Amino acid sequence: MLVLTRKSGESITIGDDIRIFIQEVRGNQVKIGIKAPPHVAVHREEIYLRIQEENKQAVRATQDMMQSALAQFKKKRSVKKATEDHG
Amino acid sequence: MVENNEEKVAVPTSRFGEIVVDLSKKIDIIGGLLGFPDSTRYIVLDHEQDSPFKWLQSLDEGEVAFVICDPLSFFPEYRIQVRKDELTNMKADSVEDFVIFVILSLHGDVNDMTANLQGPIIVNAKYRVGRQIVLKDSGYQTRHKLFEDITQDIEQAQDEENPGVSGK
Repeated sequence: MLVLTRKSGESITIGDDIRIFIQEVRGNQVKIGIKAPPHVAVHREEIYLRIQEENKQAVRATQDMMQSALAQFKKKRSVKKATEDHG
Repeated sequence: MVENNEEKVAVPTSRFGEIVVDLSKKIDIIGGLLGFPDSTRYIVLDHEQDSPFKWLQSLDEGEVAFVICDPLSFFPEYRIQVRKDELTNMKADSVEDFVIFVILSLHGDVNDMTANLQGPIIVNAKYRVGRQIVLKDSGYQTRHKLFEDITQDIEQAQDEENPGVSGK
């Protein structure tokens, strides 16, 4: 991994079209500005990883599981409807 | 995949066996879903009659399929803000062309089924091109319980079935 030391106000360029600006350094927090073309997705890593993890959980769904999920949905919907008709 | 001259292809899948797909119905997901970069072409398959769920089946990897639904059928208040850069290459002429899906996860018990409201899939239905976006500061999480509100309704219904308790 390439490691660079930068001061507040300085920047880094990656390729022709990505620039990273160190805007402010305060204690253990760094404020970073990023200029990148629209096709480059920029995310805070922990959020990105959370979505990725959730997709990996979601892909484990099976038809059997969905069969019971649908049964549950119908059961709850009919109870809900009965409640509404009552009220 | 074996292609023939009718723009239909046979795709082997792990859940549904071999399915025959009309390629005009495929949806291109730009960049794939997060964590699945090799699957960029998908097809939406109906689940069952009266089901609010659908399958989003990859045409590139037979074992990759997700359960999706219209978020508004479970979360009527759900609203998202899409940034302009997230619409890149999506031929976004009109907001009316867009539909939103969310991906569902199961966790053992069906009552614990959750919807990922933080990472919805936006699809331009006119051009059949979509993208999974990541919402920042939206207040939405990756796991919202699908059946929570309805459970409260069941409790309410049970109360009404026991009028002696409430004095009705």
